[in-house]
Amino acid sequence: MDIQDHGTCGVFLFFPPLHPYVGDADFPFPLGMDGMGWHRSRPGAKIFGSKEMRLLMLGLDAAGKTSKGSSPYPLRPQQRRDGHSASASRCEREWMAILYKLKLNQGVTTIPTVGFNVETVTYKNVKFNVWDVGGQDKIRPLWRHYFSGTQGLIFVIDSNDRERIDEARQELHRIIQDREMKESLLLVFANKQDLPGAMTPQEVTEKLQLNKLKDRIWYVVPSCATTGEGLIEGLGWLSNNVKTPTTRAP
Amino acid sequence: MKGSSPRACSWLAGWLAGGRGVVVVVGYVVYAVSSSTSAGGCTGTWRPMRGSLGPRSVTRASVDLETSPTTRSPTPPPPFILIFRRPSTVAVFVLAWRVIRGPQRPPSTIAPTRLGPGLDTPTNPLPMTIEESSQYSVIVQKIPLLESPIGGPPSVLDMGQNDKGFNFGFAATPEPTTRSSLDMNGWNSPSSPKTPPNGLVAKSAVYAGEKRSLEEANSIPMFSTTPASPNGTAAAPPSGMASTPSSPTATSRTAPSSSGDANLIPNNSNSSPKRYSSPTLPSDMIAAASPTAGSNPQNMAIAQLKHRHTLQVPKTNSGHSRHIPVHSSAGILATSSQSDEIVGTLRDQERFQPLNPAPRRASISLGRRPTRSVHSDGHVDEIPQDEDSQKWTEAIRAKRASKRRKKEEEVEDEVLVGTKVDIHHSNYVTMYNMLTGIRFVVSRCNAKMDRPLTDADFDAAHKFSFDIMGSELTPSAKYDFKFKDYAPWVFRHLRSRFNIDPGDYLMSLTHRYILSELGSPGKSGSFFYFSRDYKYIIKTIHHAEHRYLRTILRDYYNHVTEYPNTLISQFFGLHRVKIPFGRKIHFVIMNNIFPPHKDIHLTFDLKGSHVGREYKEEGVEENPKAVLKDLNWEKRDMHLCLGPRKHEQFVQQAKVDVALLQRLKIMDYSLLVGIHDMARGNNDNLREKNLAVFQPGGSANEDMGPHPLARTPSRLETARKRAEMRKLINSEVPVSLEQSDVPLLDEILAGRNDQGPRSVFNGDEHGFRATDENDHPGEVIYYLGIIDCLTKYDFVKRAEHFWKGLSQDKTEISAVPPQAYGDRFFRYISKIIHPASASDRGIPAAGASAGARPSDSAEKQQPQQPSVEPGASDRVLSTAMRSPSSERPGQMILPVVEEVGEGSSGARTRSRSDSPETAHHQSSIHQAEIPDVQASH
Repeated sequence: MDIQDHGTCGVFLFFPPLHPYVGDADFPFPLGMDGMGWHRSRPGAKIFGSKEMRLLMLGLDAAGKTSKGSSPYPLRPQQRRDGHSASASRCEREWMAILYKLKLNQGVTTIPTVGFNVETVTYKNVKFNVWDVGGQDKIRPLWRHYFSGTQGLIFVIDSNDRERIDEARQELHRIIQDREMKESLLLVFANKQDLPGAMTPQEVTEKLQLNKLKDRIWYVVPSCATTGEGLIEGLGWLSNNVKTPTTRAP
Repeated sequence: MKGSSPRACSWLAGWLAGGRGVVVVVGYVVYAVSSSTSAGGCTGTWRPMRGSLGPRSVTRASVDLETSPTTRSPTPPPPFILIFRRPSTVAVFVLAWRVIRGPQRPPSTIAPTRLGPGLDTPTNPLPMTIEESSQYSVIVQKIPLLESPIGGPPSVLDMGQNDKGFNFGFAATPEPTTRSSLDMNGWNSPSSPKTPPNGLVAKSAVYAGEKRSLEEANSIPMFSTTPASPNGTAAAPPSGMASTPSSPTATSRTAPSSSGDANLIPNNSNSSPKRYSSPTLPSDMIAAASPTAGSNPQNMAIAQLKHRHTLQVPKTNSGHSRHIPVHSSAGILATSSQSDEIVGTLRDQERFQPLNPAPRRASISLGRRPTRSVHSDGHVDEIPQDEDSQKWTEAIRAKRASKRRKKEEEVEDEVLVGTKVDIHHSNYVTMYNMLTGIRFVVSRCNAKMDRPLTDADFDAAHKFSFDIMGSELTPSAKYDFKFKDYAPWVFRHLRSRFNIDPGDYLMSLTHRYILSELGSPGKSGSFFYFSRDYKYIIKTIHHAEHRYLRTILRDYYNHVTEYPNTLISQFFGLHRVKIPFGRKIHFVIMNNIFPPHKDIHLTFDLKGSHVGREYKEEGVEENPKAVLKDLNWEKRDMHLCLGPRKHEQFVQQAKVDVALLQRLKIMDYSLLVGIHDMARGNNDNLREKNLAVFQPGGSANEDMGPHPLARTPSRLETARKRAEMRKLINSEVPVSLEQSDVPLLDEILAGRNDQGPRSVFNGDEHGFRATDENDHPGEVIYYLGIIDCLTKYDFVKRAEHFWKGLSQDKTEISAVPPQAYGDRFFRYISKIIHPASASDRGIPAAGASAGARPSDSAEKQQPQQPSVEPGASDRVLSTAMRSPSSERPGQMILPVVEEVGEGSSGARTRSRSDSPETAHHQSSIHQAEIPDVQASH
């Protein structure tokens, strides 16, 4: 695991892009203004061997296991709120674990209840800028504010939570239907593979109905945040599939 | 064909492009190689056919093929399109081979098994042909018309077509390395060790690379995507894997599916697993099948490789695949003397793309569909839904969904009061920046673990700059702006002290870029914006106020910690936003003292001074939302009707609050009093509606579930209802109807879970309910708060004090030194309190006995209340007239929270309040009230 974090690659400040206009003919923005960030149209990147990728890491919070079973009336305010606000859920911890796995190569127990964490990880010359946004159900509508400029979506699934896989599917499909997410890769971490009875990646694929996705490059990785299994694979996949500047046919 | 596949039938078609843009279509023969004639191979049996072979005949032929027993063989020949180029003319020969039965699948990866056996047979003759005229270039296409019973996996070539139409797929790839990739794509697979096809492919590839720049453009993307993905998996092996992780070299990149296919082979040796290799399934299936992959690096690699799924533009998928046969089987031979004519030809072929529906298309598909259903008996259930219809279904569904969403949003977008600040508003950009910044800084701070405050937190300030591209720190925003966040940790703690859930806070403020702007900037130039749910107010403040708030932040924080019930405005955030070339705008986020769900029938702004403290009474009639002042209060002989207990609470709290303000040398604050008259309520139909929503069950709950005979509500309706319900529940706080002046300890604890600020003074419907001498709840609810408490007694105020003191009574003007101001203020507000009694005047419609009615109404409403929590079982929920979303705009009378300056008394009118709509609603409210009032008397 040759993860290292080196700072911003400042080279490009000094080396202007090779050609001033890279992008699609039908996309009238000058270089870098295409909403995808610099990365997409930075021709120098290849030469200098560095790519940058903005990733968005989303997923359900796994709360409700405790509150869910106890409440026959899921909409009752008190219980619902309790369940979510009382303590951070396990899955969230898992994301954090993933993030910190990427970043620090160690498990952490911090908890984003609301909000986001940003981490930058460099792997194989690709700088991943990972935005990890909390998944409490009530703040999920805020996710979309992080969509723009995202090149890859990492969707973390609790493979052990069969009850909520449907919810996860809905959320996932809602996300990737968004206009801003049209271009992004989809990497699904079928997390918590270490638990017995966890859904296999295939099962996850089916449950998430990934087969129905058109025009989307996706990949399901079995992962285990506590051991770090699968994370590197996922990153590798992302780095290999990140879109390089292409010219569209007229 | 040397009899290698005696039962195979293949179609060979070619066409030559004519000179100069004119395509001369000469029919050349497509011949069927029967088992007996197969020995002749391609070269022997090319024969021209008189006339072109139209699609119709193709169709017929294909049907024939399918029906013939031989074609059902498990190893049918694969389809090809060959393009030959002669020195003088360009001949495109299309050798099509088709396979019947077997569901057509969207293309993804090459399944070597399928290609392997298939290749054996038909391709053997081909190399000969090619070798003979080495300058021929060949393009091989798989024809997806019919597929092998094994469930043919579509090839990479197909993907190219799907992407860009009939562009001769891979042939356009310029890099010579494509050859290897193609080789590996299964042509060369162990199961079909014969190499000849490679030659073809490679040649064609190279040729195309040379000649067809136009095609290149088209086909490159398809290559870059498809091959890259498998390679990616190969290149990123888990740490335990044998292969080196740093191996994603150029070769692997250009030879995309090579390793993947190589690995696939062992698994796919029998036909069944191939289905998994269809676009989406394969990886996971395999991975699932070999959960122990981790132990065996080889297996792991396989599993990984199979994980890759690439789907190319599906839109044109079926159409193109269907059309390829048209070309191939049409037997068109186009001649051209120039090589660049090919381009012309290709362009011409675009005519056949599905985008331009041609009669041929219909015939082809007609010919095909029955084929699948009728002739592929064993596979009926495996026939996937027709791709076209599937596509359309999805598209239509998505469209509808988005429409629905849009409508829903529109419904929800309406604001209840004030001017909606939407994208057309002049302050939209400012608002956008504010909200984006708030979301960002609050999310950023709240993602961290909570920690106790340090001294430095009070002085902390963080600056962020937002732009359209975002940075490593900030997300991308629509506009460029700079945002500064002050003391984030302090305000985070303040929010939690005020019992505001960060998620709700964020959602209320920043979920949508919609605020409502109130009135015009007051004397101080402050703008007021309400969050969409009216829980929060964004108030722009002057730089001096901002600076002052920062200096008093410690004291404020300590005060709030000590007296959580404080009446002083609650501050939830202090920020600054700056637009390029614009000025810096400071703003605070405060609580809205008035509730979103209750009409405020009277509003007073009390300072304790008397000079200029009057709102013209005649203006009141036409403007029910006017903020009245001290003199109005006295003229009406109003009182805060609080029983002894609440009186004590209120005065005590006011005392400490005023003491703080005095200490901080603040003056010019005022007590904002909003009066909600429960007899008038909000609006009768509103109440009913909310009641219905809240009925938990029992006989009266028809509204919850639809009547069996009733029409099923449309999805829009249900969605709206759901949204309303959600909102209701979010804003709902259980409230006691009877004597819950002082919440019990457990109630307080239970209350902790509710969102929103919760203190003694907003315990009753977010307000402070009047009580009589015996502490029985009265008729009105007060909404109280000390506002405008950021004005320091500075030079300006001193000057004002001096100037006004010249002409007026020095003690009665509002600008007096803080100490005197506070004393006067406190004296005044403690003087106006009286227990509610029958003799109470001034409070409209509250004259009736205070004790009887509420209990009466409580009984009335009790059965309809859902029990909320065990801890509060003794409490009774009020009939929650609280759904802001369910109320039409205008029905809500929210008072304007406005800075009321001295001398600005009745003169100001708000355009909003004068609107006929408001008047109309006002009258309707009154009308609706009548029966209620009568009933109560």
